[in-house]
Amino acid sequence: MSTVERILYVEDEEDIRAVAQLALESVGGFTLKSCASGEEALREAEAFAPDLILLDVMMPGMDGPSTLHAMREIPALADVPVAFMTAKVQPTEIEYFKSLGAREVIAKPFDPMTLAEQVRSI
Amino acid sequence: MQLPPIPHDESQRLRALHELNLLDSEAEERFDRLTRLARQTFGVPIALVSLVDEQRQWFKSRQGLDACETGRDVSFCAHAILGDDLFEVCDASQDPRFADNPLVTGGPQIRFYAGAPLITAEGHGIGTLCIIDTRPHQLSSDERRALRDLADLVMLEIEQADYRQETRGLRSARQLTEAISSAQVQFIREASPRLAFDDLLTDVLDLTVSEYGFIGEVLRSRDGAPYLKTHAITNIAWNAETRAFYEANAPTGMEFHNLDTLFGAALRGEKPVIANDPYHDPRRGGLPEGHPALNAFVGIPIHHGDELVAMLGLANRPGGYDENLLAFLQPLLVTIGQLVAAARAQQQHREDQRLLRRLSRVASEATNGVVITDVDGRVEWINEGFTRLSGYTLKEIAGRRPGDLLQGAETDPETVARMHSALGRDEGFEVDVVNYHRAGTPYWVRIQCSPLEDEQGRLQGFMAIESDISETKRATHALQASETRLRGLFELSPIGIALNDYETGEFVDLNQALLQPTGYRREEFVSLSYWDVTPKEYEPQEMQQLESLEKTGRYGPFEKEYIRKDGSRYPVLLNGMVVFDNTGRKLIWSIIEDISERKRIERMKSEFISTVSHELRTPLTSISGSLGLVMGGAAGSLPDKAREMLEIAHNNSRRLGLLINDLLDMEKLVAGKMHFALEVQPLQSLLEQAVRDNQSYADHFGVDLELEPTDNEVQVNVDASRLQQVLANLLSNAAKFSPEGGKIMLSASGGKEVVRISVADQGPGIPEEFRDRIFQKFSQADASDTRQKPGTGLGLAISRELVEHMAGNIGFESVPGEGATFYVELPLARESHQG
Repeated sequence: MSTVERILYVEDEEDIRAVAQLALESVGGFTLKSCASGEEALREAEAFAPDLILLDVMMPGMDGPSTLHAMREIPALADVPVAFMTAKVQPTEIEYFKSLGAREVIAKPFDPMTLAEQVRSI
Repeated sequence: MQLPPIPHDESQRLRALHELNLLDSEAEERFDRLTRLARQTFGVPIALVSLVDEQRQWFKSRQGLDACETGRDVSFCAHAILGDDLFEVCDASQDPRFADNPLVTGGPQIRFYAGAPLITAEGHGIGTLCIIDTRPHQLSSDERRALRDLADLVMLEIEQADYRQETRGLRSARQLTEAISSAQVQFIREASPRLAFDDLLTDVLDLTVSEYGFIGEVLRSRDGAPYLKTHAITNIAWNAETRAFYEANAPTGMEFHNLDTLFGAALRGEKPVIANDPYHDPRRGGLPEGHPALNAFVGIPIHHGDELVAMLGLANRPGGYDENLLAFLQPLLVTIGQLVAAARAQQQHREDQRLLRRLSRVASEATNGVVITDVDGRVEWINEGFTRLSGYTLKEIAGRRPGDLLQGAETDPETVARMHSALGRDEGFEVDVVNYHRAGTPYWVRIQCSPLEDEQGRLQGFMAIESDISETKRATHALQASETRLRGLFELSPIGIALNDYETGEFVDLNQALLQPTGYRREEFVSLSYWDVTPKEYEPQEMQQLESLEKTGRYGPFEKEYIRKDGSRYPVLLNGMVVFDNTGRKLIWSIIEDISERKRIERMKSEFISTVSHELRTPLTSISGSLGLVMGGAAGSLPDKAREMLEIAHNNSRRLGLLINDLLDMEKLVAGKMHFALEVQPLQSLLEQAVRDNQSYADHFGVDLELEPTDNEVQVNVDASRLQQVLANLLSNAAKFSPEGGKIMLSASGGKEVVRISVADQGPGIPEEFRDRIFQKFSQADASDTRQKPGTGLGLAISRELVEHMAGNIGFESVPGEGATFYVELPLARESHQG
């Protein structure tokens, strides 16, 4: 498995996006593409060609699972690993998300100082 | 020999003879001198005064003969008395009537006989003066005249004797009077008239020379036939049986009902019956074997006024009874009549007195009112009870109809109509009705009225008994009012209430609130079986509740669902208890609360908490994240002061995050949304994990955390992460409350069924006042604003929920000042640890 450098990050909440961006770019040293919605992510994803996609679960319009579903339809993105970021971390919920094709579930609220480590371990 | 014919007036003749009382009497000089004179005059050896009775001739006076009597069949005199004229036989041996007569053929060798009949004033020949010779002879006409004269002299003497008889009659009359007055005196003096009658009977028997007799009262049996009850009767018992009968019955009076007898004939005919030849009397009834001979009988019915009241029976007077005797006894008969009537009146009086005494006692002791009215319903008499009840005295109400005074506005007109209609038909009635006291106050009475009839069944009036039932009515009304109130409550209750039979489960009663959510109509619902409205999956819980009901008489609170008519379900909360109705029937009262609304609100509340928590977490993620980055040096180095402030902010944002997590956990637990992945696993490794996870937290407080070695074999069936959550909570609490340098002991001890995991600290212990609510949400021992120890106050509440979801329980032991030991008890897993 190749090392992760390019991350597509989808989060509707602007402040969280900013914190995560700082944590992943400044602390983690990743190349990050932030999107405010599932729709935006679908438009940008193919061109950005990410190594990993981080998806917020609860979003207005397209939520995390439906965005994942849509991305799986795009051949270039079909094999890119996806991790959900959510507050719903009960074992059954995690199982459900994994059944949708997610590689990992990252609990919210996340620790910005260790987020990059978590992502790297995926 | 020719037998002497019987005279045509034989019976009168005999009675006349007997009445003379000469038979078998002593010889008397006044007759003897006449027979001596006759013998002398006619120069014959024998002269006699002969009296002829039924069987014989008896000589009142005799000259020249030793025998005092001979048979009537051989008697010459029996022939002589057939006519009025002198009877003369000149030579008996030549006379075909007497030639073979033993008195002719043998001694005294009679040849000549001449007898002058002795004829009474009534013309009955009773005997003769006769002369007898052993040689044939014939009287001259002078001699015949002389014999006739002498016979007349004898007759004179007899009549003389009869005169004396008359004086004896006077004596008898005096005796009679004495008997009467003595009986009267005794009757007046004696408590019982029986002794008076006994003495009277004895006197009457003496007076009439009777052998036995009775004095009886004439009574009438139910069919009107007269019968006799003795007041006095001679004891003629002739064997043990009759003696016993006499002794048993004579004192109270013997009863004779058979009227086909001599006395019966007298009773029926109400006229005296004289039977001087009872054996040949067609009226005789026959006597029982052994009964003393009855030779003559008289039965005399006795009237008092126009009524036949008594009877006197006498028997065996020598010579029988006749009208004269009856006439003689008349005053006595009157007396007997009076005495019997008096005895009867006395008896009646005594009975009346007894009845009256009894009735007066009843009437005076009765608290009930008693009214007696005439046929028209007008008051004739009232008792004190009635006055007490109504306020009216007899004087005020006599002659009036009670209803006119007693009924008023509240009196039910229908009831009054019913009373009137019953009276109109001459019938009784029983009603409850409002009456008014003289003072105007109403009261309830129960009136039991019955017609009064005389012996012939003719209506005499009415008697009413009135009982005050005001209290009963008041109680009834109060009960009704109370029932109405309770019924109202029952029907108005917003909560469903049902009454079921304990045995059959069928509905006895239920209210609208129970029906309303079901969609069933009442009649539909009551016909349903229990399982028509209860989902099958509740059966185990139902059984558990039923058990509780049997053991304790109560069940619930118990949540389950009901199935509506349309098949949908709604949640209900049940409570119930066993009751018994007044017949002893076992019933269950159930309160069935439709908790749909409560459930909806709870759901809304938890959804709200869930939503709010999520919404809070989003900004908190940014805040914590930002602060974390700054603190982590991502934005470059900070001045010390700023760093200190940001540290505080960062800690509190983390604490807020924990609180939100706890709230969400709690909500999930309560809503049953938390999933438990139960797995049988060794306890030891779980405890080791807990020590590892919490070591740093303990270090932070400067507290030593130790694990006591545990039996490796112990296995529990738990969700590992949930148990870790519980242990983390207990261990962090212990650390927080331990003094610096203190020690926390984590240990496990096993029993047969459960294992107990203990967390013991050396802290201040749990204050008494906090123990009750230590497991409640948001409870902390120190609820003041200046809380010393951080925490959400949800930790123990969540821990308890978690433990209970894993079939365990949580608790603590603590002595204030000596630390606290919290424990979790979990059931031992039965599965093999090798599995």
